[in-house]
Parts: sequence; structure tokens; C-alpha cells
Amino acid sequence: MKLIERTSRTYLWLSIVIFLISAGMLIFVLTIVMNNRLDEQLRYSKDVIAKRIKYDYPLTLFDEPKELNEAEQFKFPNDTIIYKDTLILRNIEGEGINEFEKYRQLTAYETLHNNRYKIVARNSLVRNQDFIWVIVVSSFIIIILLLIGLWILNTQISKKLWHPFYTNLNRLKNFSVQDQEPIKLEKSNIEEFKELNESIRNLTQKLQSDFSNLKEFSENASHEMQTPLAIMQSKIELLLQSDNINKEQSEQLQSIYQAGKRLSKLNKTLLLLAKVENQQFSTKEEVSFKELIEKQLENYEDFILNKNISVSKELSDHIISTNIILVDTLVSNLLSNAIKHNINNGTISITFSKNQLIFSNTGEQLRGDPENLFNRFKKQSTRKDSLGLGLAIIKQICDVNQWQLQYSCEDKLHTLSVSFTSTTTNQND
Amino acid sequence: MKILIVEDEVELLDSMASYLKNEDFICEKATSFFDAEDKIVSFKYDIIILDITLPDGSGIDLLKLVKEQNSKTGVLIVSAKNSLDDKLKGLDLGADDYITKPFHLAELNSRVNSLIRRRNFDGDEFIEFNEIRVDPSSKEVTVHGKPIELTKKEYNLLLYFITNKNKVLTKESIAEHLWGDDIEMADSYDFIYTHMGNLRKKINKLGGNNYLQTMYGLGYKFTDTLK
Repeated sequence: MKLIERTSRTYLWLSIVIFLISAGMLIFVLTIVMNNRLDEQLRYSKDVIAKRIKYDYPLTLFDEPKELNEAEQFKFPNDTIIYKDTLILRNIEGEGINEFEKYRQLTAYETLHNNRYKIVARNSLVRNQDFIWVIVVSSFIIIILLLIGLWILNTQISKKLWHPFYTNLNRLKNFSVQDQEPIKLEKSNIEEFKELNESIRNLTQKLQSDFSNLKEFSENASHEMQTPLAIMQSKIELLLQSDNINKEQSEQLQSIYQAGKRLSKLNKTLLLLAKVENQQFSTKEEVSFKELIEKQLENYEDFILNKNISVSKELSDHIISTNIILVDTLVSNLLSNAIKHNINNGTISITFSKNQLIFSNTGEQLRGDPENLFNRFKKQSTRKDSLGLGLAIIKQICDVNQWQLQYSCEDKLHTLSVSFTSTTTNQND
Repeated sequence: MKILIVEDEVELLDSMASYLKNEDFICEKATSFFDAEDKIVSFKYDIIILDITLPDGSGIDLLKLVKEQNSKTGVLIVSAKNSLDDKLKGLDLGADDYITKPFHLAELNSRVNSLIRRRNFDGDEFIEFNEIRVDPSSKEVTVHGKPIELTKKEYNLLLYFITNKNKVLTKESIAEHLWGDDIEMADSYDFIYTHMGNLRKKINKLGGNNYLQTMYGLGYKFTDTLK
């Protein structure tokens, strides 16, 4: 629910409650005021009647005068006035229908010419009630109009007021820590939005500086590590040149040398992973997958021949705009993976189409959970030359390109497929 | 050939210099930007091996200076940062090659030699080792004047051995030279053996000597001096 809807709804409920209460109060107060006025009129009529009787003026009466009975004679003291609302059956003219109508009635007892009189005067309440209803209904209409007006005004104003908010929200959504520029926010005169903008600006600046610090740190760390490794390697290589090393020494040197090589490879690979993760390969160009695959096949020719693997390929000329270094790494890793885990006299089939890149190879049954396949340092083999990072790199490259990577295994045929189509559908994920 | 090596890590600098010194190279060393700047302005070098990250300045600035001074000087950039930006920037500014730390000394030597060949077209075009003669421009190899057919890998292997003659070359260094440093397959060492066997056979067939020596499973040496 949007904020504006929420507040509008609250306003609506509050208005309804207030209207109901005020309508009740209005009816109550108006009735009292009107009754007072009517009572005054009735008293005046009673006084006129009393005066007419006193001076024997002729009277126009609605009912025939009757004798008062004993009880009535003495029940009420002189000058008693009683007001009440009463229903009286009335014949509506021309329609022949008898209908009850509400009347305000005054009953007074007075002694005139030494006689006791009961004077009854009444006035219809129908018009008063109509009047009250008219007032209530028109105030209801006014309130409805007011609410509609307020709602329109509210949505219009809020659209304008919230405009910078939504613009900034969008910019925030598109914000990437890799952006060199600080985030640009739309200015607003509203205090709250100003504060929000200020906080966002500070936060994103902090993020950007932290990110670049981290980047710098990993680059520096790798630099600092590569240099001693380079020294180690070069010193061993120099040592190997000397003529008086025996077999045992040479074997030990070899172990040190190989350990150093592994360390440096690991360092390089982790750095590559971090760089891919940080999306530092963002330059795009037109890449022919076909060419890259053919190139890698040539490079790995010896390895393929060694296991007597037969390669079948179906490569489309389709060109994809992406980062060439990443794709090269991807293809190289996929191919080396397909060779490494292959069996002798096995097969590799490579399919590249507009939507998919598929590598499938024969191989031993997978031990362990396929779920863990793409995790770092998860390795099937206990081979020393395997770092267990190849598939993690493949996964990472697919992730940054928003390609979908899937593994399936059927009948000892392992298939890794990369779908490019998810580029558009998964963008909101 | 006069070579200037600019590298702030003294240990690494010494290794590089002592490996290259055995060739026909005169090596001079510089350990700082200031030092290197001074040498570049005062002397003329055929090749400069340049570390990009120096404590008191950027190797990129030195590269600019070299190109202003003498555009014939070949520049080989050495960097611990395997970042493409640096690489492209360096090559754009006129560097001839780029090598990433850590590297094999034999690989460095091979790159320097290849750089010299590319720089001096007017000089000696052939690389000779006794009866073996390699023509890098046409990639043709002759033994006793008779041509032999080599595969691409065998040719690269032979060239690598000849440029690093009399040196022990580790299997790792050969594998990286032949397949690039992405390769992480133990099998590659067997292939080196196979390629080498084939190479040896082809050379022997035309009356060439066997110059390849094995060093305790550690590596190989291409030499005409007997153990």
C-alpha cells in the first residue's frame, strides 16, 4: 500500500466518523431550537385564545368545545402548561387517505370568567422535520464534495511532492558502487527529503570509497604477494643453473618450486575471481564464440589427443556483445573441465547457438552433491594440479553476465549449459 | 646489447641481471624512478625492462621518457598487476611487450631475445646453434642446411631451448611457454616429453646432435657441453 493511499484511507474513515457524530449533534440541537420556537408560538396562540375568551371575542375552533369533567377540573392547578409531541390522524385532502402526522401540542388550564378552561393548541412538526433533513442532507453533500476535492488535491500535490523521492529512488536502484561519479539526486524543498538525500549521498560516497579501497587493497595485496613469489621462483631457477646439485637436493628444490607455483596460481585465480565478482571487466565488445572455441580447442589439442577424446562441435557464427577476457576464460575453463574429468577414448560435444553454449563430456559418475559443484575449493579429484576453482570461476562469470548455468548428468554424460536468454528475463531478480 | 633493468625489489633485480648477464648482454640496474630517469637520460640502451610500480614514481612515466629520448629502444614492461588497463596503457604508449610477475627467468630471456630480433631487422636474422639454424621471420629450421618440418609446438620448443641454451629449464616454465599460464594440467609434462622426443628424432635424422639433457625429472637443458 502506498503512503498516500494509507493516509487517504485514514482521512476517509475519520471524516465518516466525524460526519456521523456531527450529523447526530446537528439533528439534536436543531430539534431543541425548533421546539423552543414552536412552543413560544403555541404559548402566544394560547394567550390569544385566552384573551378572546376573556373579552368574548369570537373564536375559530378546530374541535367542538366540550365540558371539562370533574377529574380534569381539579387535577391541574391554574396556569399549568404541558408540552408534548403527539401523533394525530389526519385526512390528507384529495387522496382520501388517513395518515398519522406528528404534532407539537400545548395544553393549558386557566380560569377565565370564573370558569375553568382547558386550551389545547397544536402545530404540525412535519415542516420542521423536513427542514432538519434538508440541512442534514445538504451538509452531507457538502462533506462528500469536500472529501472528493481533498482527495484530488491530495493525489495531485503528492504526485508533485513525491516526484523527487521516486526519481531518487530510481537512481538509487541503478546505483552501482563501481560508478566513479557520486550519485546525482534531485533537489527538494521538503525538509525530510533533504535529510534523506543527504544521508543517501553520504552512504553512497562511503560505499564508493570503501569499494575502491577494497579494490586497491586486493590489488596491492596481490602485488605484495606476487613480488616475493617472483623472487622465490627466480632464486630457485638460478640455483638450478649451478652444476653441483645432487639428485636429492634437486628433488627438494623441485618441491619448493612447485609449491611456490601453486601458491602463485592460487593467488592469481583468487584475484581473478574477486575481479569478476567486483565487475571489473565491464568493457564490452563483439565476441565471436566460434573463434574463441576453435582457438581454445587448438590450444588444448595435446590434452585432447592424449586421452584420445573425440570432439564434435556445432558452432553458430552468432556474435554476442560481452567482455572478451571473461568469455575467453569461460570457454577455456569449460573446455579444460571437460577434458580433465573425461575418460580415455571419451567424447566432448560443444554446441553454441544464439541462446545457449553447451559443453557435454563423458566421465566418471559424480561423487558428492551436485549442489556443491560450483562452490569454491570443492573438488572431485585429489589431483594436486586442481585448485577446485574452475567451476567457481565459470559460475561467477555467468552470474555477472546474468547468464544461467546448469549442470546435468545422465548416463555418465555430464552437461554444463550456459543460457544467454535469461539476460532479459532475469534482470529484475 | 645494453639492457637496463628497472626494478625496486633488489633481490629480483639481481636474479634477472645474473640470468641475463650470461648471455651476450650488458646489464645495468636501477632500483628507483629517480635512478632510472638519470640513466635513461644519460645513456643509450637497446632494451629496457621496466617495472610499472616503483616507490617514487610510475613506470608509465619512465616509458614516456624513453620514447621521447630514443624511440628505437625496446621496452618490456614487468608488472605484478595483471590488469588489462595497465597492459593496454603500456602497449599504447609504445611498450613492446608485457610480462606479469611472477615469471620464469627463461621466459623473460626468451621475450627479451624476441624483442631484440624484432628491433634489429637489419642485423643477424638467424638464430644459430652449431648445425641448427632457425629463421624466425619464416619460421624455418635447417639442420646442416637441410630443412626439417616441425609442428608449431616443436618449433616454439626448439626456439625456447636455443634462446635459453646451457640453462636448466623447468617443466613448468616450458609448459607455460607452450600453452600459456592458464593451463593447470599435470598431463602437460608428458606432452613436453613427447614433443621433445619427436624434436630429437627429427634433428637426429638429418645428422644433428642430441643436445637435450634431462635434469633429474626437474627439467631439461639444451647444451653442447657434456656433463
